[in-house]
Amino acid sequence: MASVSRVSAPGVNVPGANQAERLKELGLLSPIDPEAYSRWRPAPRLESIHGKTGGFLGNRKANASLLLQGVMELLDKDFELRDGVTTDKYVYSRPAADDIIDDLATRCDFVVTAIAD
Amino acid sequence: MVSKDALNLTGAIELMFETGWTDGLPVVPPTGDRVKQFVDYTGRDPGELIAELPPLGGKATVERIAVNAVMAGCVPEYMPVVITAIQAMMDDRFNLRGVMCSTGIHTPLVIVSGPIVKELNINGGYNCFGQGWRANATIGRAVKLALVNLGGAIPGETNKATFGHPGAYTYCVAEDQDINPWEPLHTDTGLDASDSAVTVFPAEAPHNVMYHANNPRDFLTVLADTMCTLGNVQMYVMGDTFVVIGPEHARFLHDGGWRKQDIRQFLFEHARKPVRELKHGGPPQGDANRGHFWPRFVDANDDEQMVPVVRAADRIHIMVAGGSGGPHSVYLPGWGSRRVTKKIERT
Repeated sequence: MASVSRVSAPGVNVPGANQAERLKELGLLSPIDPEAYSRWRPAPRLESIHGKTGGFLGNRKANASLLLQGVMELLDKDFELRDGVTTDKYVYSRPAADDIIDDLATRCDFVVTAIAD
Repeated sequence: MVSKDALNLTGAIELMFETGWTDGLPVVPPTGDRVKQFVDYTGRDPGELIAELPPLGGKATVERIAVNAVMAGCVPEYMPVVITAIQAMMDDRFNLRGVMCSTGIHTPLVIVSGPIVKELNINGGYNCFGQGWRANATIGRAVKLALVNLGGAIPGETNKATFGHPGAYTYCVAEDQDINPWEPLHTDTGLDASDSAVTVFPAEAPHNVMYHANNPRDFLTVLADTMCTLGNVQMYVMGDTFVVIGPEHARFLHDGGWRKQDIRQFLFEHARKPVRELKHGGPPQGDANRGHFWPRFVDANDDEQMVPVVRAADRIHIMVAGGSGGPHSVYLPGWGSRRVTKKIERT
């Protein structure tokens, strides 16, 4: 029986062992770079953010700043943060510059980022 | 009795769905033999790295691009166009990462110009943004499949497009030099008219501009009005913008002595809205510093100042395409980044 195709958002998958075997059997090549998908993983999670310093990285849009300010206040109320560092990317449509990432990495235990148009 | 080959074909197509490697439509199964034909046609090494496509940075080698091109339904002869389009999109001015991840409604448009248009039968005439031409349909689709499969621009995950765009399946058009009274599009960037080139541009869907008479100034006034609506993202973020002039309009403009630079200048001066009206649109992209992207000559604190649709006249790009007989041209709003043109190199 043919497998049922997805009806939700078409997430790209690295083939599992079974799929890889079927690809081989059918003589098909993969259109993806599997390393690109395995390279990006969530950062290691802290056991607790209680008393930690949080970074809040916005995309330089007014609504993102509002959202992150609210998140920072909620986290501070619930987890008594040691400090909160707020900053913005230089350009909303481009990645955060290295100096911003380096600064956050130096000063913060965790970082929250958000897009908000 | 169903043959084993047919069962394998169906199984291969379904496997492509199962892995999430299609755009929602069936693909041609990328068999090793077929992919090799595509790679061989390029004369390049299969492992040659063409680009690391954002947002995930997948390595787009010649072979991987060929896999996506096979899946899209291309023929080997389309490979130089597909590769050149991907190379052009990696130009920093295009901002491919932003283009593929934004909440906006644009998607990369591939425009082909020069002698290769006829060689590959890429449509720049009737229904040129529509269906029916293999080259348009599959070159555009190959680029889009590569951007998702290799770049990882996955809807709802890394791609935050609010609505998306029908052109996210395929969006490829040719400039028809037979009906173009001016120099080809790619000569704007210093290439020779005899070159073949790919121009890429993050474009919204084509917006029709109807004009039934033959007065150049009246037509351009209608076109300019279409370009500067309050909902047009360009009014707030600038960037490049595109005008596709239909053959009927191109004819009377040219006969009236209008050069492309004259048309650009007219549109730059007339496609404008006052600061007062643009305030209805809210701060540009939510930036509290109103006018951040506007040209320096605009005083954002003066309600009567007129804001152009682009920062300078040369940000308005003009090409000619479409079928004869209709009183139509097209406006393609952009997104905030630049058009990039690259010569197609063939080995």
